[in-house]
Amino acid sequence: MKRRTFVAGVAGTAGLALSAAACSSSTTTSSSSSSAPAAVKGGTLNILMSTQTEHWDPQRVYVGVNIEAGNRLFTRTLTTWTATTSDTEVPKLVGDMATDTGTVSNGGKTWAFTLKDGLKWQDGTPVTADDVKYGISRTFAVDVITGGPNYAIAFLDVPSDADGSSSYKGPYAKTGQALYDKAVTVSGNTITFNLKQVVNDFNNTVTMTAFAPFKAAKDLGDKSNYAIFSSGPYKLQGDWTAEKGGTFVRNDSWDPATDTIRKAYPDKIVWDESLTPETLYARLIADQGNDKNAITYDQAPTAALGNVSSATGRTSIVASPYTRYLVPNFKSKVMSNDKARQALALATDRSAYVTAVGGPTVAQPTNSVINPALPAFPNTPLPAGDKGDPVKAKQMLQDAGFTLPVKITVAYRKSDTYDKVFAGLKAGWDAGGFDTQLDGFSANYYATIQSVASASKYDAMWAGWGADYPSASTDIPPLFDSRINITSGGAGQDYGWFDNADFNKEIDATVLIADQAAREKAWGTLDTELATKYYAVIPLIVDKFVFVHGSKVVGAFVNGAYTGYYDPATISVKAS
Amino acid sequence: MFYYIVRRVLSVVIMLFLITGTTFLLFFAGPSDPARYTCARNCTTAILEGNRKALGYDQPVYVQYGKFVEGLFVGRDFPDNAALRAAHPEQIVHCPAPCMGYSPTTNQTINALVATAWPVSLSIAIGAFVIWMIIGVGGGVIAALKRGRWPDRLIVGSALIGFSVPTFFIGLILLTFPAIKWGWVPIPHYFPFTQNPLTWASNLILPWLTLACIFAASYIRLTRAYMIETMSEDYIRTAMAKGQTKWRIILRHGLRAALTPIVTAAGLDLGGLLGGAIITESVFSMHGLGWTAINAVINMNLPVIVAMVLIVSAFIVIANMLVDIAYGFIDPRVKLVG
Amino acid sequence: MAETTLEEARDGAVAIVGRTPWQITRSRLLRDKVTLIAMGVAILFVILAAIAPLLTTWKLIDPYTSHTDLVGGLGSLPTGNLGGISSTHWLGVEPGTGRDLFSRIVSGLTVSLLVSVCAALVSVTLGTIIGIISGTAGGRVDWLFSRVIDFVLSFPQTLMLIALSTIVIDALESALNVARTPASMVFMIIVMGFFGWPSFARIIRGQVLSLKEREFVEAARSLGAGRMRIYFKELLPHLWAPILVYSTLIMPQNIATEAALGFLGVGIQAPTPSFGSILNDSVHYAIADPAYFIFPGVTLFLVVLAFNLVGDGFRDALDPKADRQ
Repeated sequence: MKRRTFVAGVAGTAGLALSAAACSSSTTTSSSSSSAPAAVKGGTLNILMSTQTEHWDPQRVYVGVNIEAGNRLFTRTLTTWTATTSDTEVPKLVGDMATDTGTVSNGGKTWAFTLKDGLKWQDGTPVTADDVKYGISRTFAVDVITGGPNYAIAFLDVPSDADGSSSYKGPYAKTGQALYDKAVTVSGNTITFNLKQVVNDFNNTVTMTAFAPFKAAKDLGDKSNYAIFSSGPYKLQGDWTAEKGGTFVRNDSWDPATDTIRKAYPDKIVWDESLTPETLYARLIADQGNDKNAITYDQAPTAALGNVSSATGRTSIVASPYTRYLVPNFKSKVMSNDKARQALALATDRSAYVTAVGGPTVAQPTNSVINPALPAFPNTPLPAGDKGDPVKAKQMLQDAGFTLPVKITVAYRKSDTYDKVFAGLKAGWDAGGFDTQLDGFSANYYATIQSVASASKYDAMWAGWGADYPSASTDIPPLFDSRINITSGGAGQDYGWFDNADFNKEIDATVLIADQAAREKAWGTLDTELATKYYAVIPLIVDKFVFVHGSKVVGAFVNGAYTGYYDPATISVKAS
Repeated sequence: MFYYIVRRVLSVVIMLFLITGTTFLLFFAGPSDPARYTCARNCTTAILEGNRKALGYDQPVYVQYGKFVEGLFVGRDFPDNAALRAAHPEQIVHCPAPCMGYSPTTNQTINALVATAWPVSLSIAIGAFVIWMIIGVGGGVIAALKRGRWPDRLIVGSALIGFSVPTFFIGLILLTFPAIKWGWVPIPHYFPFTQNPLTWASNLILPWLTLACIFAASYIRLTRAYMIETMSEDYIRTAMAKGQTKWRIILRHGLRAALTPIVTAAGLDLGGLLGGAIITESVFSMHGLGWTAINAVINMNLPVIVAMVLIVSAFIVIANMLVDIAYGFIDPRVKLVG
Repeated sequence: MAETTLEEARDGAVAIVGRTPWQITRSRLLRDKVTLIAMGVAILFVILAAIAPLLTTWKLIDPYTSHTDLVGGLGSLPTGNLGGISSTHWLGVEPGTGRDLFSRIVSGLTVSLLVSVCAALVSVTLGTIIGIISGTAGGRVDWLFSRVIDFVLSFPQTLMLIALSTIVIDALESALNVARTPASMVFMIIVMGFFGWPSFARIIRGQVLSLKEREFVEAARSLGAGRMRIYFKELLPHLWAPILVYSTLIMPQNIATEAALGFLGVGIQAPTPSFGSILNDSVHYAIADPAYFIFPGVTLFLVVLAFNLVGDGFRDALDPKADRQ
């Protein structure tokens, strides 16, 4: 629920273009590129939302929408992704506040970035390398700055305490400040990061706003959550109201000469997050009045898809960075049996899933956890086609000595659409010899399924995941390495309690592969093993995002590789 | 009279304590762990325990309730952390009395949350109230006067239909057809009255009609019943015998007598509505108190839930009290004794 | 209009004419055509709800099987006209799955009515017992119960229903060791039942207060009848009229509440169909697939209307003065 939409870099650095599979998964009906009129400065862009922003504090943002919108409007970062001119174009990594994409040394363990001249905060004071250093230090104050990614803690060379937490406790407590000052050094305009380990794509990591500067004098801890202090082309006018939104106007201190990415066409941007998904899409499709100047970052709800086609030329259908999957629970009596997991996989009717979420245009079956857009995508064949093979599954259960039907309980994150999805899946499983009880709930879904109590309650659990990086190293270990997930307190993100020493060894071996292409391929092999050897996961579908924008909006392209949303860098509104 | 009012106010205060106390027990000492609801994906035991401490859920429930009550009278600071207050006073949010708590998901005091939501609920309640009173009382009077004839049947029939249609169904039909499909009225979105009264009204007309539909139906029935009763009283017959005009009798004598119970009911209903119309606000995505409450429930934002229960029940209990007291003034037959 | 009130009827004044209260009520009801029609419709709904499980077993209706061939296009909407109405699918099919809407509504009727009836039973039983005790005991007991009633009525009911749902359903699930669907049904029955009793207890208390001064209670008391006997043997038979009226009037309220909670996303959980769980989904299709939105909504309206009319009819027939309260 919380990280409804994780950031997901889909395109890679040097040479990592989208694979062929990614292209086939990404159709677009956007006609904007064919009839792109000249962009003009001025006007008001309306952003219509039903999802509420939890954080605007750069160090606390971990939702794709807010990473992208924040970066384009008011939080500049050391490096960033270029804007695109079509929904399928792959963006490039470029320096944003930094002059270039960084200098690596010490075999990949030291990274240095030099800031451009003329960078200013909205009050006219210069943005310094110390501001960057201060900003990143806030991530270490884990008791105040909650919600953001913890890559700074994982990568920077700051020692850990006995309990595994960092010895540096952030800029408020200041405990261990000297350790942090050693890991991150500033010399003039240059900031240098000393890392614990080799991170060859650290310059990708710093595209996240968690690595953005923060002016120490403006830091009010938790009170800064919505107090936007801009370094970009727009600043907040008045206050941000939680669950309602705010208005952004031009930030005169921003110097376009320092910025190659942001065109900053509209004079004003009004962000309204007080709508329901249905009314918001009804308004976008109706395209009346001010809604002609509107975009949204919310995907079209399933119920609105049928009407989307009437918004000709204003629709974008793009591959999402997510994979939805099911994990059998290795602690359940039934699912600890290999044959039961295999039978469950065989009886899974992915076509029912696809239909329930809105048809093949918006979803496709998959048997890999890794998203097709990633180079590591192994394209593991489905065990028995889209519909599954319940007859074979039943036979398998019988042969394994089960008394049919085998009673199982499956947890899923409840919504109107997912009630239907699981009604369809249940039909397949029941035909395959199971007697499925469904347990759908939405409040704190992930916190619940990873709890110890759930281990004895559910036989299988639904989950979804999208990579943080264009590397499957942000897919396989976070989800299936038992050593970093399973504790006495719960299963972590290894919701099915999959704990296999052989598999963990394979992970360790894969991390050490020096060649990037070979390493990604190895991740793909591990993915296939999970689905077809250990039956530790039943990948279900990859879905697509559907967006609609108003008729006066020009240059609305989905930056699929950055986060998968409309990129405000290039959007303009027609004068009339 | 004075003694009665004092007693009544005291009983309201006691009632509100009982209600908030019960709510606290239900949510904070219930079988489920409130801290669990603050920790989403990537939750570790450390974060969970941290949240539990930061939000004070590690303390016994009576201590938590004590702090809540303390906040109501003298205000509170968030986070309640003496070390942080000493080192970084600029990070502390002060919530002045009557402090209803702090919402961890939206990083604001609940007082601030209520301050933005309350005008929305007020606007919806007032407009709907005016419409339903006009339709309800007017319809009821006409039905009573034409008792048994076709206008009566028509009015009573439509009242029963209005009474039986679910609120969300009327609301969604009004939203879908006049607003979205036909574009007769704007798709409702709240604008402050002070910004532009016309925009305010045109955006609120659908929520008003939705609420008014349900309430008008019961007021038609109520008014009709009381009118029929009073019109058969002796003094009305006397007035008629004295040769007064029909409408003068209806307005001066009939309706006036019937009005007391109607005003009573209206006071109670309005009191309930000021605490937020949950369904109507949800249908039209009006971010009033009702919507805030539902949103808090969906996110299991416990401090907000407790505050909303307090506010809504306060409106109900206080409206009850005011109506009781007003009775003493309006109706000389009522003698107020504790 | 010289109508005979219930009180007069009981006083035996009518006995001279030789008609029992039942006969009067019946003759009144028989003259009230609207109520009769509504009663017919309500009975039809009840019968339909009662036999729905049988119809499902006999495969005459099928609320669970998907027909993905009947939906398609972007959004998986029904491919046929008017939400896919056909000779086999009288009210069309559900978008996304193609499940038969008529079957789902009929099965939903079973669950909604069952939950509403059980909740009404809880309310009426609690209300009657507490009303009788409060009315006969008087004094401190009466004072205490009256305060409890005030207290429960001051709770924001809808809000509490919704707020408690997650916590209580979780607790019920583990306490009763059942799945979420039955747990959510038990929750609805308990909570709707609990919030329904206080207003009814007030009515019963009022009735008891006027009854207890009457000769037959005095007689029973002087004959040495126990308190319990007086409560339930002597008083109860005189209270059937308000009990009947209240039961019929609280039914449509419960049905509407269940549906409204479903709209808000709480209450009875999928895959079991109920008005709430069907409307929870169908409300989103008001624009894309109006038939799917209209049919369940109109059915709900008809059920609520029928029960309201029957309740009103009963009340008028039993006590013509009642609607002036």
